[in-house]
Amino acid sequence: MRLACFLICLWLAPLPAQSVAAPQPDPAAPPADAVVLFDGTNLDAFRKANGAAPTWVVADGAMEVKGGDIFSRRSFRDYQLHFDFLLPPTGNSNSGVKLHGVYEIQVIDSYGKAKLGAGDCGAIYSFTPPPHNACLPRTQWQTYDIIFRAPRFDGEGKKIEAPRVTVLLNGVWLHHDAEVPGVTGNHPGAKELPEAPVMFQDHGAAVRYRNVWLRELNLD
Amino acid sequence: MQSVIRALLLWAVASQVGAEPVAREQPSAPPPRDAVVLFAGESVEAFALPDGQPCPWRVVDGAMEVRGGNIVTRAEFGDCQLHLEFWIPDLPGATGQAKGNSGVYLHGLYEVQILDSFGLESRHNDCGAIYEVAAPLVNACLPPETWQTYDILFRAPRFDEAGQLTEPPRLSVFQNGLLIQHNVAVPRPTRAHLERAPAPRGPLMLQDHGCAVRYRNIWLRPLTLK
Repeated sequence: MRLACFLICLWLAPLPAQSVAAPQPDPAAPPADAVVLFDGTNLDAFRKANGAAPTWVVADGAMEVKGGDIFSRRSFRDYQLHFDFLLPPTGNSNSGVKLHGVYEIQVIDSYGKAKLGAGDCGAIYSFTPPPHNACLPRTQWQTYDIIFRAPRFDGEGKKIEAPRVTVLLNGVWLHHDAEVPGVTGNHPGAKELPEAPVMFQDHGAAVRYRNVWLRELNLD
Repeated sequence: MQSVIRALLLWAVASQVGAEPVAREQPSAPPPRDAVVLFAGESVEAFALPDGQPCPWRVVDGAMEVRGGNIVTRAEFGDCQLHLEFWIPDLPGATGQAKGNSGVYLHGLYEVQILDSFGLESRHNDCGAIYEVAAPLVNACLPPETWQTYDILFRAPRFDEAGQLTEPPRLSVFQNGLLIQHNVAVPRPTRAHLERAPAPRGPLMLQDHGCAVRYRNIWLRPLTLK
């Protein structure tokens, strides 16, 4: 009887591999028209919030979260952003990329989760959950490809068009030109701007990033 | 006059030879687990001629090569994410629309062009164009005889209960990993489309335009977009 219960529970439980993603191949080199933000060797393209040099650890061609959020020194408007990320083997796995510093695409371990919320990997954080689980296990490098169309403002600085994002996680298309209704998460006072840096978040987890590049676009 | 034309042609060829691609060759990833695999290197069974006869394209080195007419998938789709890889033969004697022409028709109606447009300033009939609707944002072509990739998101046209079109179809396209089309509305079926009316669902068509273009790793994920 106990065995029967166990078997039924097993059958009812969600399959462990609740993800549609396939393992990703080693990345190609960045395109010739890309602005390379991290090529595996140095953090020269980034700064801390206060302008100081970042303290993230560069090792084995990757940069690992340490000592605060980092921002690209340059500002951008519309772009195609690519990066790979690797989550720590256990424990806290939270990080994220904030487009224009205020619109977060979530980075976290959601592999195997059947029901995804707006805090899961692939979400437009706090607004839009991913429609599919496209995560890979923590042991594997994962890829994000993001198209960002910046918000538009009129002559008085009033926002007239919300920003829009297209997101592919591990080659799986999750968001298609989706509107981002505002600043993600709870950040009163955070400014929305026509051009701004890309931010990678320190949320206390030793997440690694590599192969970070973007191509500036004009999506008028 | 002839020598001037010849000199111009030579210059055009030379400038193309010297062109550096913006894109890089992309590694092949395995299809996602929820993908419908249409061609994995051996069987062309997922395709047929538009009249239902078996697909006459031949399989060469794990790829399927254009021969004997346009082919359509036996299954129909609504919205989808499509991945495919294509290989254009080197045809140095050919020019313009005769240079490695084929095409990917979503629903059999809306073409993303395939052509050897390497090194050109891309127009609305070049590779990556939504044919005669939208030029690609950038020339993302690789030279002929190189495997190239398309990753396409297709939002099917929408209709009201009376069957009237309410929203045109929309396409986003990456070629070799570069965004070349961004949520572009396609106002009408494009040239040489399948003879059928726009509908919520339709087949994928690959075009025979008389050039031995090859395809491999063809899969799509059926989607339901808002």
